[in-house]
Amino acid sequence: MLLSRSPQGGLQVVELTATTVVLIFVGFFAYLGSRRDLRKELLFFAGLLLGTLLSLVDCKPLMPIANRVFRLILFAVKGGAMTDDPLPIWEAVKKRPPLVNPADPKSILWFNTGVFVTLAIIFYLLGNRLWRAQPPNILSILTMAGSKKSRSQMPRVLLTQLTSTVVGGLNGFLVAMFVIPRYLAATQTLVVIPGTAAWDVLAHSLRYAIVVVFLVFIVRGWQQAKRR
Amino acid sequence: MVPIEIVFFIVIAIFGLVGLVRGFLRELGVTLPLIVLLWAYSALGERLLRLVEGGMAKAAGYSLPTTTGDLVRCSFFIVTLIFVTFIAYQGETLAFGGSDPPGIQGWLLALLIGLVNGYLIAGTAWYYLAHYNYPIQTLGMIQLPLTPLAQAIASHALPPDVLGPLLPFLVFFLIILRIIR
Repeated sequence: MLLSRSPQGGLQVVELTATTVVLIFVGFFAYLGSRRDLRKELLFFAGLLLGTLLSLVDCKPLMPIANRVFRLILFAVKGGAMTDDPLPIWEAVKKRPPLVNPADPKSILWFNTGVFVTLAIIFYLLGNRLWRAQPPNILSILTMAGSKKSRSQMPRVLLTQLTSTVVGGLNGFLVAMFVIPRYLAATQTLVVIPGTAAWDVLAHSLRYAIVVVFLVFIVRGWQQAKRR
Repeated sequence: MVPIEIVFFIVIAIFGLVGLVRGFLRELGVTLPLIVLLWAYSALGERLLRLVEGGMAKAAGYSLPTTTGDLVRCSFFIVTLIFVTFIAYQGETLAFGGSDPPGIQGWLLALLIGLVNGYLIAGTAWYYLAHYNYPIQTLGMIQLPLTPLAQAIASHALPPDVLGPLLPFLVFFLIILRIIR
């Protein structure tokens, strides 16, 4: 990362490498992961993974459904369900442009973003609703401020929260995979990074991310397995 | 003839089912020797072959003919892979101790590790077939060219390519898990 002051003073040019931006995302979400229950993070990961997979095909399977639902809502809003002669209203609704135009890249981008963000929020909140309990405070255990019982559980709690942190980092990676090529690689944003470099970094990191996912599942199963 | 990628996916699915039946911890006991074998292949495999071939050439003045040489080299990797796989599945020595995670979570984890083991086994065999330009085509067991999907998998998605630089860490990680358990 390079920080330089312009000759006139005041204005700073911020130049970030793709790796730095990915690391910022991973670090932030890893921090969130360290503060949340592992099960919540795994569910959040599932939602982000679904969003990422859908965005790889530009959410094309969802476009016809979204357009149909949009037309149905318009039809209902314009009173089509209440009138005796709904045909003129339906014809008028059909003439309106669709919610998502598959031929318009900007429309696809916004639809992708909407689906990704919606899935992320749903799965995040679902995790919060399913598992209300907060994970133990690692800091209090590490500083021996907790009870004797909690101190005896320290290795297990630490391993669980470490796994949660790793899953959080993976979540950050998925978010970076979505955001960087679509938004930060543009030429008009404040923070500019070359698009090809971003893709190179993400593609190169993907294999590591996949391996880390499997390691997380191995550790999770290993933790859940009872000793003989 | 069935496309090679279909065979690849079928083998992975079969190992997934085997994993489901055997359980998570036993399957993890298979993953460890497979990862160690992959590491040994990447670090020693080619060197060992060159050493043996050099020794044969010096001692008996015999060198492998170019037509069958690749078949012999490829067979070395595949036969040792089958041997290690057989030992890993047959023996109990490397199985992780304890009882499997309970419920559906345990099933899913067992399926996942079974699929990973299938990927490691089928993927490694495919990698060495591709590395030696499919020498079994002389036996009529495969027909080239590959489909675009098979080419993409063979170029980017086989275990030695994907795991290459991570293998020492994975070996270390799994051994630590085994020791702690």
